[in-house]
Amino acid sequence: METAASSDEQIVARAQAGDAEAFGEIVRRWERRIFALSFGMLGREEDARDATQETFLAAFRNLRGFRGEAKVSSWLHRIAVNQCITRQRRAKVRGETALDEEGEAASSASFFTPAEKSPASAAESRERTEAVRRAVNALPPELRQVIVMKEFEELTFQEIASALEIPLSTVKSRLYTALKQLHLRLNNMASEVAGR
Amino acid sequence: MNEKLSREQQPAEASSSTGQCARAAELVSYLYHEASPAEAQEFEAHMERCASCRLETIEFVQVRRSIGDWRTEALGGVTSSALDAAAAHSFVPINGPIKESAARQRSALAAIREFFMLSPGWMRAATAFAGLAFCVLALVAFTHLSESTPHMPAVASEKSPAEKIYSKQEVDQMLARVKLDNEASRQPQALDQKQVKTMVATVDAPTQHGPARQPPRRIAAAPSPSLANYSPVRHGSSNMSPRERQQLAEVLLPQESRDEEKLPRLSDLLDNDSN
Repeated sequence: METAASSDEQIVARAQAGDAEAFGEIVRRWERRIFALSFGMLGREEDARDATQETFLAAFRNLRGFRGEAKVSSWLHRIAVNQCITRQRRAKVRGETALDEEGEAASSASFFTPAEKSPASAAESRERTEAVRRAVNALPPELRQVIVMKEFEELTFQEIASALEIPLSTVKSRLYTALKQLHLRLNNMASEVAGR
Repeated sequence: MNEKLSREQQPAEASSSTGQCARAAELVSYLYHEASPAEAQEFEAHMERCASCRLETIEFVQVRRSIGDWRTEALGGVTSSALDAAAAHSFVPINGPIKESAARQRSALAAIREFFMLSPGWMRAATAFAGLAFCVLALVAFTHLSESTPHMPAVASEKSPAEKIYSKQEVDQMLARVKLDNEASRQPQALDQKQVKTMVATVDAPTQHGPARQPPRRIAAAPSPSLANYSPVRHGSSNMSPRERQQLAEVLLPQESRDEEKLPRLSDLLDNDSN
C-alpha cells in the first residue's frame, strides 16, 4: 500500500510537470473506486458516471493546487464527495428527487451483469435494496458521506478522517448515528410494508 | 434533523439506546474490526454484562448486511481491493479479454478445419483412428482406475452443486449461521455475547464482503428475509432429516457455473468435415 501511495504522488508530480500520460494513469487507477463512491452517494449509475467525470476534471484543473500534504486518494475522495453534494443540491433546487422516484429500481442496475435469479427472489431482492438505498439517501449529507465511504469504499476510519478533514472521533460518532438512523428507518419501512 | 427523526419514530416501537453506556465509539470500532485485540476483548467482556450494547450491535450488523446486499447488487459484488488490483496494472475494457479469447478460439478452430481440408485422405483417416484409439484407451484406463480405487468418504469436491456432498461439519456450520440469523431477527435480546461475536465476525463473510476483501461468492436462491420480515417473528428451522440438510446446503452455498466451455471434440470436427 505504501508503494502504491508513493507512486500516486510521483505520478501527480509528473502530471504537474506537464506529463499528460501521467494524469491518465491516475484516472485509470482511481476511476472505478471514485465511481463506486459516487454511486453510493447518488444512487444512480448515470449520475455517478457524470460525477466521476466531473471529479477528474476538477482534479485536473486543480493539479497545481495539490501540494502533496494529503494522500492523492484523500484528495480525490474530497473532490468526489464535494461534487456529489453539489449535484444533490442542484437536483434539490430543480425539484428532482431522483432517489425517491418509483422508476429508480431499474436504474440501479448493477455495474456488471447480475447473476440470474428467479423472478420472485429478484423482486424481493430489489425491494430490499431499494429500501436500503432510500434509507441511505435520506440521511443527512455528512452522515451519508461516512457511511458510503466506509461501506462502499471500505476506507479505514483514519482514511475517512483525512479525506474529510475531520477528527477520528467525529468519524466514529457520525457512523454510529448513521447506523442508528438507518436501523430506525428500515424498521419503520418494514412496519409499513407489513401493515399493508 | 433530530426533530425530523422523532416524528418518524412515533409510530414505531422505541428501541434501546447505547447512550446509557456512552460506548458508541468502541462499538463502531468493534463492528468494523478496527479495534485492537485488547479493545475488542474489553468490548466483548462489556457485552456480556450489557444487554443494550449487545442488542445495538446486532441491529447494526443487520444494517451492515443490508447495505452489503445493496452494494453487491449495485456494483456486481466487486470489492474495492479487487478494483484496485485491476486498476493498478492497467485499465482493461470489460469486453477486451472476452473478445480476445473468442478470437483465439475461432482461429484455433479455423486452423484445425483448414488442416483437415488440406490433408490427404489417408492422413485424415490416420488422425481419426489415432483420436478414436486415444479415447478408447482413456475410457478403459478411467474405468480400471475407478474400479480399483476404494470408496472415499464424502468430501466436498469440484463437482457441480447438485452432485456435491458436504461433510456434516460444513452443513452444521451453515445451519448454525442461518439459525443464528433467524434468532437475531426474532428475539435479538435473547442472544448472548458469544452469539453476537459470531454475528460480527461473519458480517463480512465471503458471501458479501469480508475483511480480507476476497471477491464475494454469489448465493444462489438463498432464503434471504424479505423487507416485511425485517424484524417480525419468523419460524426457525427445527429437526431436519439428513436429506433436508443436504437440500438446504445446496441452496445456501454459492452456485458455481454449470456451463463449462465445451471445446469441440475431434469426432465432432471429423463429422463436420465429412459432411
